[in-house]
Amino acid sequence: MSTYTKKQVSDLVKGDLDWDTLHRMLSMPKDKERYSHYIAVLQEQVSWDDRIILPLGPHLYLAETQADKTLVTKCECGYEYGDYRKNWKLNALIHVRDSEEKMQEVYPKLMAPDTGWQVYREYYCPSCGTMHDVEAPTPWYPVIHDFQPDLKAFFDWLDLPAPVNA
Amino acid sequence: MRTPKYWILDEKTRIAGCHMIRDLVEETVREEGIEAYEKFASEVIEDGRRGLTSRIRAMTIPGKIRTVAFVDVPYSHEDVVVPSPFAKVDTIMHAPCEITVKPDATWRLDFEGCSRWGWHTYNANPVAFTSGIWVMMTQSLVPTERINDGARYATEFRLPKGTWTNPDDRRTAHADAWHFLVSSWSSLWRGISRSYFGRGYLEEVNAGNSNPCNWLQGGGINQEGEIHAVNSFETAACGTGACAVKDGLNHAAAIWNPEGDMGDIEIWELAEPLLYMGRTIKTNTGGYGKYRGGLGFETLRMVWGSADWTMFFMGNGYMNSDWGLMGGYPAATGYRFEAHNTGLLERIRSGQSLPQGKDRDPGEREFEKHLGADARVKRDKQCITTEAIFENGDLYLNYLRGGPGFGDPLDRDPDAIEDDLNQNYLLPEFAEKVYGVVISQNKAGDWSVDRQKTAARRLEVRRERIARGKPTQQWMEDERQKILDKDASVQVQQMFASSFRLSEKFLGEFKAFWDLPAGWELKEEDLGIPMFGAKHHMDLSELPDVHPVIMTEQ
Repeated sequence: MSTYTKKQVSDLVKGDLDWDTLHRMLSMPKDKERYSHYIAVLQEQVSWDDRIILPLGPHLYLAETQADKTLVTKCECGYEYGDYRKNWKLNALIHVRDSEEKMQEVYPKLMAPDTGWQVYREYYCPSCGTMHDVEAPTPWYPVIHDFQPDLKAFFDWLDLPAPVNA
Repeated sequence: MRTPKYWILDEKTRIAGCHMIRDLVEETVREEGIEAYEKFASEVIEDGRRGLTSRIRAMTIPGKIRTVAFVDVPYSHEDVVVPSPFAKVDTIMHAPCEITVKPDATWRLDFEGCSRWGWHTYNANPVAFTSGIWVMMTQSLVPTERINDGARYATEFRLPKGTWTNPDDRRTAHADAWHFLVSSWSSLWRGISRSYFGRGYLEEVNAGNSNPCNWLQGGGINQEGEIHAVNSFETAACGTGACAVKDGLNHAAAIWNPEGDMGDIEIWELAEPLLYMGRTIKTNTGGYGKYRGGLGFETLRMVWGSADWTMFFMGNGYMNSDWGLMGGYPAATGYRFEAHNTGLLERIRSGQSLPQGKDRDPGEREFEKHLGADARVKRDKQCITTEAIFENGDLYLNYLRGGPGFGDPLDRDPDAIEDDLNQNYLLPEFAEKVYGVVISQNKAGDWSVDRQKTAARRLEVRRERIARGKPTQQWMEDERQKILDKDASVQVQQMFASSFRLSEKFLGEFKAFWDLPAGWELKEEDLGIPMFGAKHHMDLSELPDVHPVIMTEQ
C-alpha cells in the first residue's frame, strides 16, 4: 500500500503531480486516507466555512452547513442549490443548444449532433457562471440526477463518523 | 460472408482454445484428483468475487448513479440499402443505466428503460453485454484482480427482455453488437468516475472512451488482382476521454482492443488498394474542457489498382455517445466525406494540386478545392452506409473519433490552449468562443494567448452564460409543452415509445418528471412508421431443444 502526503494530493488536485507519483497512484492499491487529505486540500481552496463532505465536480460540493448541519449542494462561489438529495440541476441555469446555429457556436459545421436527434444542455451556476455539467440527451429527456450518494454507508467504509444529517 | 478465411480462422481458434483449456483441466484432475480441482475452482472464483468487492469498497461510493447513452441508427437514408422495407426507419438506441453500489460492496447494473431491439445488426444479448463489461472493467475498476465468474457473483445485472440488450425474437441480427455496446459502456465509465472523483482518486477519472469508429470496410478485387476484403483497424487508435488531472490521449486506444495501434501507412497500403493522400491528427475532435479529450485522426484514401470495388461507412454521426464529464463537452461527432468522378488521375498527370488529407474545418470544404469540376461529393452526417461502388481515383475519408472532455473549458490553462492552437489541435474560432481566450498570431504563424485580456474575457463569458441561461424549472415548462404537443422528430418519439412499451417504470418516471396528465401516452402506432417486431415475436427459447442459460435478471 502506497501512502501520499497532503502536498502530493494538493499537486494532484492542481494537475501538477509528477508522473512517477501519478503512475504509482494508478498502479498501486488505493490509499484509504486519500479522502481526508483531499477534503483538507479542497477546504482550503473555498472561501466559505461549511464543511465539504463530498466533491461532485471541480467547483461543486456536497457540504454540511455550519449554521444547522444541513447537507446541501453548493458551488465554490457559495451559491447553494438546496438539499443534497435533490437534483442540483433543477436550481441551476440551463442553456440548450437545440439548433444548428447554437451548435456551431461550439463545434464546426458537421462536427456537432443533428438537433433533431440530440441536443446539448449546459448547466451554469446562477451566481458565478461556472459550467458544472453538459448533458447530451435527446429532446424531451428528463434532467438526469447523476449521483445520489449513500453517505451513511460511505462514512462507514471510511471508518469516519457520518454527518449527523446523513 | 466477405472474408471466409478469417471467419473460419477465428472459429477454429475459438474451438482450439476450448480444447486446450479442457486438456489442461483434465490433466490437472488426473494429477491432483477431482476433489482438489473442485476446491481450487471454487476458491479461485471466490477470490474473483472478493477481488471485485474489495475494489468497489476501496474506490467507489455507495449510492445510486444514473447515466445514459444513445446511438443513431439513420436507416431511412438513400445510402442505406437494406432488403426489408420495415427496416428503412430512423431509430435511436437508448441505454439508460442505474448503477447501485450497495453497502456490502456488491453492485447492481440495471438497464431498465432501454429501447427495443431493431432491424439492424447492432442488437446484443446478455452474454455479450456482461462479458464486454468485464473487458471494460479490467481497464478501469479491476485491473489488478482475477476476472472470472466470481465478479459476476458480486454483480446483479438487469437486462430487460425485449430490449436491444436482450431481444425476445429469434429474427434479430447481432453481427455488430459492439456498435451499441461500446457506446452504452462509455456512460458507465463516466458514471463510475463520479465515485472516483468524490473520493479523491482523480488519477482514475475518465470522461469516457470515444466510440471507436469510423470502420472503413469494403472489398472487391485488390491491387494484386485477388478477391479481397478490408476492415481497417486504424480505428484501434481513437482519442481517449479526458481525465481529472490530464488531457485524454491522442489517437491512442480503443476500449475493445488491448493494443492501441493505428498501424503503419506502408503496411495498410500493402493490404488495401487505397493510397494515402494524407494522414493527420483530426483538428477539433477532442471534447473541450479543463482537460480536453484526446484527438482522433483522419486519413484520406484514394482508391487505386482495384476493380469491382465497394466500400461503406460505419460510425456515429447524427448523435454522439461520448458526453463530457463535470462541465466538459462531448467529443466532436462524426461526418462522412466521399468523392466520386474526382478527376484526380488527370490532376496527377497534369501536376495540379491534390487534396492532402487535412479537412480541418469541414465547413471550409478544403478537399473540394482540389477536385475536378464534375466531382460528385458526399459530405454529410450520414455515417452509416451500405456498399457503394468506388472507382480508382475516388476518395474516402476515414475519420477516427476523439474523446470527451472534463471540467469547465474556462478553467483550461492558457499555455495548453496555445499549444493546442500551434499543433492544429484546435481551431482559433473555438479557442475564442469555447475557451474564452484572447489570441493573436505572429508573422511566422505562431499563436499566443494574451493572459491578461483572457482573464477579463473569461469573466465576460461567465456573465454571458448567466444572461443566456434560463432557470431550469422555467425551461422545463417550455419543454413540457413540446411533449404535450408531440413536438419532436419521429426517431426521438419512436425511441421513447419503444422504451415506454417495455418499461412501465421508465414511463412512470418520465410522466412524473414532466408532470404529464395521467392519460398521456405515446404510441408507436401513431407515428406512421413500420413497427415489425413490436407486438409479434418468437423468442429463441420457443424453438425445440433450445434451453437458454439465464444469467441475468430479465
